Parts: sequence; structure tokens; C-alpha cells
Amino acid sequence: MKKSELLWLVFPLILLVFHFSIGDKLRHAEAANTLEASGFVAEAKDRFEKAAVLYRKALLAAHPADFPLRARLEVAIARADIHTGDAPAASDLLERLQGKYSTASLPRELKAQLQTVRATAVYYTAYALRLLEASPERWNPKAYEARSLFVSLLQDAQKHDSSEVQERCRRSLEAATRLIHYRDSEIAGRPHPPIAQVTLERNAPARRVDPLEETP
Amino acid sequence: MLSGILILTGYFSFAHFTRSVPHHSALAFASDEPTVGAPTHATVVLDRPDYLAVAEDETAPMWVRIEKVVPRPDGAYSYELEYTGLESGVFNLTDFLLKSPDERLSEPIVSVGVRSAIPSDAGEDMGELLPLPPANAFPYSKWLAASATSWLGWGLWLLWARHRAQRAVQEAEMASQSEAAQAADEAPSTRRMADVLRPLVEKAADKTISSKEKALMEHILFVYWSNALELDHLDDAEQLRRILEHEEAGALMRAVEQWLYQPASDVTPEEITDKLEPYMDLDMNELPELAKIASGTLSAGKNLLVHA
Repeated sequence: MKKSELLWLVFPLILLVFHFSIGDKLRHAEAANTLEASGFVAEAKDRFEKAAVLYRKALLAAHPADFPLRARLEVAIARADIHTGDAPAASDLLERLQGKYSTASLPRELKAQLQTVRATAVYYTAYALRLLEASPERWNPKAYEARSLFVSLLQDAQKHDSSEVQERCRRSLEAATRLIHYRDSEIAGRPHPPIAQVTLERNAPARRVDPLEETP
Repeated sequence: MLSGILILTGYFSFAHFTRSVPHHSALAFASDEPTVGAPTHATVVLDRPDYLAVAEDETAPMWVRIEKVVPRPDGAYSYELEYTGLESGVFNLTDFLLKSPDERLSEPIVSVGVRSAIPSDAGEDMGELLPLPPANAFPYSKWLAASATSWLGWGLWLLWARHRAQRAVQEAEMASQSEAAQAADEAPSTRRMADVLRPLVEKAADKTISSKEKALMEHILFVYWSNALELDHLDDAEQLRRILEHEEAGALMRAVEQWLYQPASDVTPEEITDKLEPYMDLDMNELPELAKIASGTLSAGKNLLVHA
């Protein structure tokens, strides 16, 4: 038997070994990536509920050991949740994510996105709390937390990112600072950001964000 | 000296402070000025080291923190401040420092601008939350399918290569066979007259030659020599007589007659070769009439000697 024929016989064995080791992770990543791409398209079309469902499916399809992919998908879920008015859940999800894993191994872009989404979720949570006329003790820590996250994001962007990204960070930071600075009457009298309005509508009926508010 | 510095600082700060800037307009500020909420650092030279910062209040337009107070050689003090504007506008930093718990410093005037990063028509919108595009995953299923297909293709190629090798061997065998056959086919075309006569002469030497074969041999010799000696104008008997009398032309015929009729002839191969010598260089292709006689396509030979 020739060498090439022997190699041909051995090749499927090598392929099988690869398939059940590294290939398994790649297969999961591919399946998750397809769903994630569909979710991204839905998100780009402002169909956030569909995007959230697709991202959750992608998370189920992702390999349990593929931490960067899972982190990216969880950030995407949180991002979609913010748009659907579930900013408090998004904030909790990302807080848990940061507590569960070390984010040191993540790419800088994903780390920045995680911070941005978390800060945004905290900001809209604080905004909704203010609109719900919750006590300052409840919304103040959230507003300060959002501001602090945006400050660190701006400092990071000033070191690494373009002026466009920096300006976006400044805008977010200003919004978070204004939230702290405005009086209740000023807040009530101003047009609310659409996401804050959605968050309020979603959380107000069940008093999900601040259930103690109704208690005498 | 100190008062001079303070006057100069005050003059430039006042000029900056009194420039025409509409409140809450992002366009009126230079792009490098700090925005609302962004902590910024500034150094202010003051005459005393014990000024305090106004306590941070959410309703205040600006927060100022004293980070460090460094004495200078001229007797003044450098205050390293961090300030954060909570509104856009132009502010005097010393307005946010206290001489005493009840009295603000306010002098010298150190004006700083704070611009808004949110466009005036955007309300409180912090801007779009841009999604992170999904990373391109390795197309594993396609790769797997391509690998399987390649493997199958490789197998087919190996089969084809094997088949081709076998066919090449067969073709080589066939080629050698056909070459041999061709050589065999070509042999008569290049055969000499001696080659045609030799088996007949050998049979005659062994006395095993049939009358038909003997007639064929004599017919060949007769036709050849009658042409060679230009005896065509004579009748057959005269031609034969002259051929038999001729030293070279009749040599083989006479020898054959002698071998056939002598009681114990022991003819050697050398003898036969010697008698066939005149016919060694005669190509049968150049003698078409003789070739036809030899192949039997012409009328069967006659026993010329008997006839004679």
C-alpha cells in the first residue's frame, strides 16, 4: 500500500478526533453565530424583542466553555432588554456577568461594550426610578453608579478611541450627570428619552423596579 | 510680585469670562473644552494654602475638588483642582472655593468653559446604543463538508491513479505484444528471397519436400532467372535448359536434384547457406511477381524439370 493510500485511510480518523474535540466548540460557535447575526439584523431594524429571543437562542447554542462568545451574547441580550424596557434586568445580568467571570481575557472592544451597556442599563433604571417618583435614596446610587461608569468609559476612550467615540461617551456622561443635577420638577417637565419611557411603562404597572414605592 | 501674578491671572481670566457665550449652546464652545459631567484638571495660583472647596451639591452648577496644594518659591500656592460642570456655561473656579466656611473666595477670577455634548434639539437623549457587530465565526460545517468531499475526491483520485497505473501496465504489455506482432507482420515484407527458398531447400535436402513445394521452388527460380538472364523470348523448355546450364542460375536447381536423387545425401546447413548465397540480398518486395508466386496468389508452380 502506498503512503498516500495509508494517509487517506488515516485522514477520517484524524477528522473524527478533531470533530469531537476542537470541532465541537467550533460547531457550537457557528450555530450561535448564525443566530447572533439574525439577532443583529433584527436589532438593526429596531425589532428588539425578536433580537432578544434570537440572542437567547444563540446563548443556548453556544458552547458552555466559550466564555468570550457567551459574554458577547449576554451583552447583546442586555442591550436588547434595555430597548424593550427591561433595563433593571439588563443591569442585573451584566453585574452578574462581571461578578461571575474575570473580564480580563475579553477583547477590549467587548469590555468597553459591556461597560457601556451596563452603564446605560443603570442610567435608564435610575431614570425610570426618578420618573416613578422613587425616593432619592433609591435612584441616587444608581445615577451615581451610571455616572461613575461613564466617567471611566470616557477616560478609557480618551486613551484608545477616536474622537467620535469620545464624543459619544461625553454625551452619555452628560446625560447621567444631568440626571443627578435636575430637580424632580425639571425631570418631569422635560421630554423623556424613548427608552426611559418604555422602561417606565414596562415597570410602572407592576412596580417592578420599586415595589416599596406604593407601600405607605 | 505675587500681586502682579494675581492681577495678570485675573485680567486674562476676566477677559475669557466676559466673552459672549450663549447659555447651553454646544456650538459656541471650542471642541477641546470640557463637557458637562467630565472631570477636568486645572491649576490655580493663590496666595494662601488653606482655602477649602465648596461642598458638592447636586443642585450646584459645578463641583470643585482640591487635589493638592503645592507651595511655590515666590511664596504663592499652586492649587491643583478637579472640576466638573453640571451645566454648560462659563464659570469662575474661585467661586467654588471658600475663604472661610461662610465666605466664598471669588478672586482672582479663573474662568472655565463647560460645553454641552448633547445637541440642543436632542433633549435628554444620551444617544444611540450601538450594537457590537457579531464576530465572524469559523464556518465549521462548510469546512467539514469540504473536508469530507475532499476526502472522497482524494479517494476517487487514488482509485483513478491506481486504475491508470494498471492500464499503463496493460498498455505497455499490449504495446510490446503489438510491437512483436508488428515485427512479425513486417518480417515478410522485408524478407529476402533466400528466406522464401530456405525452408523448401531444407526439405529438399531432407528428401521430405512435396512435389507441390518442389514445383513452387522451381517456379520461383525459373521466373527469377528467366527475367534476370532475359530469356523471355524463348519457350519454357529452352529457357529451363539455358538456366540449368548457367553456372550461377542453375546451381541451386542442380544441387536440389542431386540431393533428392543421391542415395545418402548428408547436406550440411553451411552447404544450404552457400547455395542460397546469390539470393541473400534479393528483397521480395522488389520482386512482386515472385512474392505473389511465393504467397500462392499466382497459379501453382509447375514441375518444370518434369515438364522439361
